[in-house]
Amino acid sequence: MVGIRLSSIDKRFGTTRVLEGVELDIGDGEFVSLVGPSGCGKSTLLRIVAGLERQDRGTVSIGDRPVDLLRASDRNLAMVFQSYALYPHLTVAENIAVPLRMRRMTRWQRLPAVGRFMPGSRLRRREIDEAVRDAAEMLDIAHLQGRRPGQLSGGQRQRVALGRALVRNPDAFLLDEPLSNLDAKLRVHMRAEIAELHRHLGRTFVYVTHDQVEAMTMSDRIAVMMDGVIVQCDTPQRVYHDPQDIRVARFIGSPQMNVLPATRADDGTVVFAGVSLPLRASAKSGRSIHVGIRPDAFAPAAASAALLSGSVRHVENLGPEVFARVEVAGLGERLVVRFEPAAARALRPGMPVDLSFDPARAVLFDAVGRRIECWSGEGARALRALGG
Amino acid sequence: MGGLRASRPLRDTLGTAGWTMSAPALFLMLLLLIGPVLAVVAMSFTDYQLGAAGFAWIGFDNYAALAGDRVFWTSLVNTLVYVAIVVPTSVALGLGAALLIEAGGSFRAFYRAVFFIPVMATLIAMAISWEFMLHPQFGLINLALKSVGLSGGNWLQDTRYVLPVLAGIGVWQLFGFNMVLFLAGLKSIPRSLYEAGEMDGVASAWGRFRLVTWPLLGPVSLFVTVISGIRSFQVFDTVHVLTKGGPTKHSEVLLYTMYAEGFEFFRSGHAAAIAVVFLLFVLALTLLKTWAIERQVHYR
Repeated sequence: MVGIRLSSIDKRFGTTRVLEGVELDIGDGEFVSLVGPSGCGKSTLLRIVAGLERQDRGTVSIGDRPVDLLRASDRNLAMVFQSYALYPHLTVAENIAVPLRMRRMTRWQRLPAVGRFMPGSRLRRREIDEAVRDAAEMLDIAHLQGRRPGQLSGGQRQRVALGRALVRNPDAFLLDEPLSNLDAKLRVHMRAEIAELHRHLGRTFVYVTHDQVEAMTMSDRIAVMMDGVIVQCDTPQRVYHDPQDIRVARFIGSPQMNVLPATRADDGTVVFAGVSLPLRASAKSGRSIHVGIRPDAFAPAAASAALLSGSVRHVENLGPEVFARVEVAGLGERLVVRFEPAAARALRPGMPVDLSFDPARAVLFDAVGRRIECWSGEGARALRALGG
Repeated sequence: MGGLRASRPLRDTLGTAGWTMSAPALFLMLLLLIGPVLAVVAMSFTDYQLGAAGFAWIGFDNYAALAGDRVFWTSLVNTLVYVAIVVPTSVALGLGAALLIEAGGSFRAFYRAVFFIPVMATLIAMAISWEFMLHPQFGLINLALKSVGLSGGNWLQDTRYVLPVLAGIGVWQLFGFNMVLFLAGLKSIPRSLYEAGEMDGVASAWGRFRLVTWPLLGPVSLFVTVISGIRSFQVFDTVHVLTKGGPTKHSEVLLYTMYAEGFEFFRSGHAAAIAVVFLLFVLALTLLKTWAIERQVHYR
């Protein structure tokens, strides 16, 4: 069992608090993404797990064993850096071989010319060559083994960095924004490849990214970090549909979730833009609340059934889907609404539209951004029937 | 539509403009650099003497005379020994000082300045201070040795010591410069490479040096070595001030021999031949640098 457990990790740089009481439990073989805006502490947290940075308080355990006193080289973790950090003077094969040479060969066996003749050296070298070849083949870079990093493209360097990480079968892989230096097309491709690699190796992956799409598409669980704390750690599904914090709601999903100011009437009904919604907020929240509605929760409606009416201000056609910015009288900001291409064909700026949305997909937050319970549709009616 | 047709006149214009714009620099280079070198080479084939009214072409006679001249061979060997001491020592000390300064936290600027002072100081003036320090009776070095019970030597008059002592002064003067270049080189090594090394299982300082620092300093090391080589080939000031080539030619070096031939014995043709030999060594070092930089140490 090689899970990773972080308990109450604190970290300061000078007077700046970077991490505050971070708790995270990563299961064996799990793919967990740390995602958040830049400066939220996600990279620092990964470096603390790696042992490249020391926490001020708290414990890191790898496979039930506290590793706080172990230096990075003794933790048996592999890391892929944002800059790839390949050794520029070594060929691809030599780069991949470094972790094996350092761990499996003695200092004497590693000596440049005479090392070859040290006892046991030949066998070791052959083993290492084989492991390097296997790794290179797995990553489809076998034909590049003799080249130096300077002669490779970004995507190829990325693969070499992955090869160097996986060649020695570490307990876990730590990846620090590994795709952020690639162009958009390659990023999509490598996303799938890394996810596949994870399934193939079955190892624990911790993946840092600021790109919520990467986090959503690859992870078993996403830990959303804001200002040095993990705000929510859940499956991509739940983080998307069930955000526990207004910041999570805003961060995950592209385009962003519509977050709109609303009020809670005395009977719990949610009122926004002058419309009573078929939603009831729990009594614990204050009067001023926020409603969050994903762009894809909206649907065009007949004028009689519409919850909101507004006019189209701008249309963005992405091909398989169309996003329209809709101005609704009484709302401070424009709504972003997703349309099916068929329904969107007639959309023009300035056109009036009538919208409804699925109340079950709306989420409510209190004044400070915490999620509040709400009942909608059937649930709300049932509650009323019970006299609640 | 005129893409193809326009390209030729454009290239012609560029050619003319290019030549016109580089003409001043070319002219100055010819006048101040290439011209004098050619003049020296030409002079080495004459029997010209400083101040003489005429000269005759004598072919390779000057070189033949050099080949049979014991002083020239002593001078060449002394120069090579000097270079062989100064280059490795000043490169190693420069690198060591740079690594220590970079590793240490405090007083970085202070150490940098202290070690760099000899580079900025005028070597002639410094040579005079060294002369006082090395004085056999009341020099600081012998007094210091005496206070711990050792007897010093007559550093500049003893045939065994004179060349190593001059080389020591050369190292003292040069290594601060090397250190500054190494410091700049160290700064340009990405930290993430050391971190990658750590993750790959490199735990010792020596391991980090072998895997990352030394290979990535390759271009700087080569540059520093070649520059140190050229500068130590040029050793002159200290010899002129401290020993004048003595005792008994034991500190005679190429440039000093050339100076003596040209300006004390007025044998300009002979001196020019020595200058050409000197230039050949420097040229060889420069070519080595160009060749190595282009194919070896830049990892492309």
